[in-house]
Amino acid sequence: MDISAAVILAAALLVFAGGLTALGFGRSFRATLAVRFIVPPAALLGLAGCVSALLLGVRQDFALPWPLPLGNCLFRVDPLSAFFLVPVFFLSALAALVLPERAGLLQKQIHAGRHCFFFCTLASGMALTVLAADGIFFLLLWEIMSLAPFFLIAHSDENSDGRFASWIYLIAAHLGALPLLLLFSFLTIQAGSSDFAAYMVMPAVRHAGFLFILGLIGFGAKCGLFPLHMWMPEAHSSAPGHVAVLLSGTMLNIGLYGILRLLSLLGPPDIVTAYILLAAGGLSGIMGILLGLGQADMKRSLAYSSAENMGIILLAAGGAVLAAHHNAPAAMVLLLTGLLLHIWNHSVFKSLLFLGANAVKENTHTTMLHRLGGLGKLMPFTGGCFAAGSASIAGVPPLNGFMGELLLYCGFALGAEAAKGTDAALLFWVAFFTLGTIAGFSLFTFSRVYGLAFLGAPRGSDGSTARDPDAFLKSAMFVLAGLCLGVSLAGPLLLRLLTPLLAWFSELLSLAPPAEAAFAMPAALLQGYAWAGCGLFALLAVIFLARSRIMRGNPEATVSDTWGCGYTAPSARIQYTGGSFSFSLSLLLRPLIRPQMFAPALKDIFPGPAGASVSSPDWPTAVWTRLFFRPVTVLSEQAKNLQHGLLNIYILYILIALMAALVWALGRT
Amino acid sequence: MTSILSTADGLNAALGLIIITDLALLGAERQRLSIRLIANQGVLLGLVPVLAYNGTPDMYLIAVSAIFLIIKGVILPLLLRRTHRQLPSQQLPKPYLGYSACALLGIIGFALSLWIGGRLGIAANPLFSQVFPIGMATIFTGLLLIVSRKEVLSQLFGYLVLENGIFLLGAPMAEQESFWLELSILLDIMVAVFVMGIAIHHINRAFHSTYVDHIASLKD
Repeated sequence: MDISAAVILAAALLVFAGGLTALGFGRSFRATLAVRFIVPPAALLGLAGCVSALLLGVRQDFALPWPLPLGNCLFRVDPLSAFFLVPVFFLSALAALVLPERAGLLQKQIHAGRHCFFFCTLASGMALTVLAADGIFFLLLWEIMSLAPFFLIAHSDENSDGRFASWIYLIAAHLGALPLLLLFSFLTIQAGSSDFAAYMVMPAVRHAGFLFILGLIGFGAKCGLFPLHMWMPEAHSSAPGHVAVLLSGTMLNIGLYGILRLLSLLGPPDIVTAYILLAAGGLSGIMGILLGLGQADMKRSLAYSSAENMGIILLAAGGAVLAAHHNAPAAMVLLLTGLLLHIWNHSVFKSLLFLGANAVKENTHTTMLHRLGGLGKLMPFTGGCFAAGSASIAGVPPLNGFMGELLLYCGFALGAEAAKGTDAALLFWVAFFTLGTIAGFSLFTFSRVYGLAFLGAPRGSDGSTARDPDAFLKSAMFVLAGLCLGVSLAGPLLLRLLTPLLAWFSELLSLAPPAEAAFAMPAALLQGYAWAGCGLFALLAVIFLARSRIMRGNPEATVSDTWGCGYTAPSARIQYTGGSFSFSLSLLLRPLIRPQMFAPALKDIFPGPAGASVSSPDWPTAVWTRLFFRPVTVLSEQAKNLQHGLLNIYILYILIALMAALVWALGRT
Repeated sequence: MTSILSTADGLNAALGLIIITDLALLGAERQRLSIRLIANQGVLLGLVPVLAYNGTPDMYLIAVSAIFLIIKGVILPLLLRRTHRQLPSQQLPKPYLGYSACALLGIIGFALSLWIGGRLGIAANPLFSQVFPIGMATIFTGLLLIVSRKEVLSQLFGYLVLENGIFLLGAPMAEQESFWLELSILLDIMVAVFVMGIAIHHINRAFHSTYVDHIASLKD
């Protein structure tokens, strides 16, 4: 038995034990401390196990002797699961570290023990879901993992927004589980066993395309792909910081894990799968960021950008499948490497941004951009970290965000080159430019979010007393910001870590192990990127030092208002607001964003005070409501009439049912 | 006397009378008449196992049948009459379904029972095929009474008739000494009757009448 696999499983169970311990403390604040002391060491242990399992390409089964009515209690550690466990363990440790202070601020509103219990259930549930190697058992753990956030999103029952977010989440989670139930039932019936290994050895899966779409819908709802993203803005903006980290940094990944695992289960994917992945990824990427760029709430902007990043990852997956079909192993390996790195990178910078937004919320009690401003001077540490995260997510070199995207750009270009003269070349180029468009909008969105919240001068009284958060949150942000900078320099090391997984997955997609030469390209690119990063950092350091030297000796240097623009008496009111920043772009992309604009008609020469507003409501939700939720509501309301309290009619139902059953049974024979 | 009544004619006569009491119950408007009909049906039911027995019945069968006869034909009707008397005199509410319509549905139920009995094929026990349509029709009658009546006591009659039907279906098995099963069902119904008695008392106290519609006002 391999030790790293055992360590991983033990760590996941230990995290759950931490939750049980916390539950024992009841409402006491000590419950949160128990989580801080138990979860991070356990999770770091698991992390070490994952790194070792990844490096060695470990494949290890654990069957627990726990009889289930269907399926088996079977865990399996393999490179794919170890890869997805890395962010789960790492971010669980960080989130547990910052949990006590966050819970302390909400102390009156939450039951500490219960909150910690569900927090640990979510963390260990995610880890165990990724480890499950049996269809039925997987569904069981998936359900446990999906239920836990319901209890975490709304930290207080009194807050109606939080309650709404929880319900939306619960409905989305259950609707998402439905296709998965069908998917695994079909697979289990076909394979005659619910073991993943049995699915894989099936000679040919019947209706594989249909099953893949079922999986894409079910797992896509979990990772918030457009248009199944409705729950995400609500849940991510309502959840407290440490929960948002787990939701956005890791739980979305579990959805991706599902999609990638499904790709490996259904046998070599056909070309249609590539088209579907490319279409779903491109749509989610573009629409996610477009909906995010006009949001008034910074946390909602962050949530939409998750839909965008999930889209990028699916786009890359589609590209990899397409490359496999056009016999372009180099492009495929490049795309797969970029995809895997982007998954990790997204976990890092999105968690950093959510922690930063949480620090803002705790200090200013709002995350509405039109009420924030000038926080960079009041909370310099948070501002710096948020800037690093924003630059990273927007794909600014030399940070980690661009590292994955660079490989994707090269992968798409290389794929187009390999598929020259066919339609696929066009598709590769479309994917290339789609990625570029997404990156451009992402840059716009995050300059807006960062600029409006942290630059300029404070608007109103909300932010004037803000200061940097406690040491734990600061250190967590510091670690994540350090990773944003550091990961980009460690590309070659990461490639070594991912090589067994890449080799395995490439073989799955193209039916042949990739040649050594295929790995040369990403290695060279990552090495170049690391060196360029070093150079850029050195240059930045030189510029910064020079600037501070010049400033120190200059008595004329004064601090003035940002964006004063030469006005004699500038005030915060002349600053760009969220609406005005994105106004032109919203107008340009009106059919896709569908902004709601209100501008007063100015009639007289001296018009009185008036307000203008631009908001960006989530129109897909409105469409879903019209097409699906409202009819269901009407139907449910009508079904209530069946329940009217009259005993006679209830017995009549029984009579009718019995008669019908009897007549049917006898009429058949 | 036993030798005369234990012929197939005796059994058929009893079964015919049971069907007639069923239909009469469905058409009966006054509760006192219903109680009397139930008492009659109880007596007939008590006789059925003895009549159905092939040969000279032993003491055991006679004793058990006598117990049934006394419970169904005497004790339960007496209890019902007592309850009926204790309730305030009230105008009975119009049932959901008229009395004649109920009787008509009862006939349809009987026809359906005959059809079902025909579809079931030939039973190992020939008596079963003979008793089955009547038992089934009695069950339908009980359900119909429960569904159509608005007053609690009338619904209670429905439960008793329902149980009579179940008893009839089991009667052919009297030889296999399955009476204990029947007895347990009877006890269940007895308990139900007591519970209903308490419920009637409470409904009466809360709403000053015993119409079940009032219970519907308790829903959300």
